[in-house]
Amino acid sequence: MKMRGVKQLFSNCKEATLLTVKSEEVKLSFPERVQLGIHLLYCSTCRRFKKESEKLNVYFLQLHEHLLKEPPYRMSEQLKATLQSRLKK
Amino acid sequence: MLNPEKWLEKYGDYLYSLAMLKTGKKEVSEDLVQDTFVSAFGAIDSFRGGSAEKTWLVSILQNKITDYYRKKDVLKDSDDYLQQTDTTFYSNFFDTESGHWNTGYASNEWLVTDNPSEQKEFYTVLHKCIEKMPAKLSGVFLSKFMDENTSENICKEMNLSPSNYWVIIHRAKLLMKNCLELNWFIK
Repeated sequence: MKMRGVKQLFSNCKEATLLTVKSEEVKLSFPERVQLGIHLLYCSTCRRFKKESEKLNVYFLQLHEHLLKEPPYRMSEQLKATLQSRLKK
Repeated sequence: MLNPEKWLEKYGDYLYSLAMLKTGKKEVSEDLVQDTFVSAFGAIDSFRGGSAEKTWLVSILQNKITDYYRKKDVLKDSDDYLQQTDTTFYSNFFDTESGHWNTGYASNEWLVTDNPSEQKEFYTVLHKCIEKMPAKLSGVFLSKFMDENTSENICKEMNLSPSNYWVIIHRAKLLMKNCLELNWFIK
């Protein structure tokens, strides 16, 4: 039982990445901070995940602005025409 | 000056794109955008004008998208969905035995030279990756990142428990990261 607990703490990248994502938005509880901190100490893959996750947030947060500047999808001409005439009435 | 006849030209494709990303369906998005403009023009007297016309239109569309989610049960039973797919989803990324990342995931450095967000093609890839995400995840993901909604609001609006919210964001992040690595960062 005890061994399992230790294993949970030390080699659970699923849990560690979830805590990483959570920590970007809220303050983690003390036990969560300890768990994540210990994991990151020895897991270089999760350390990289943390860095990359932060970069992704920057790109994701620009999605909306980009959508306005360069809308990736275009309404069909037909829809535009229909709408144009509906709105004139 | 209020110039509603220009709105279609100015915001049409933008609103349509917003609807496309959030519903993933052409016909649905066309209907939602039509309804948005018709409602907006019908309620034009209640709109006071100014620079907030874009925000106003987006909020009308957003209400219609929320109705659509509700009617189609897009966000219903998220709890069951997350539980039933837990093992299959996470075993793609993490070894069930060791708890560590599977080989091939997150194992390579990104090859980033310029800031990708300045490149148009990067967003094309990003949009494709969002399209591939299951609807149960993408609605929450977009609400957080595209609408910059808070977790409390999203949980309330979409009837989610905080722990399910974190799982959804976690899964969405893993999927997006993987998709972007395959198609942009490490290809």
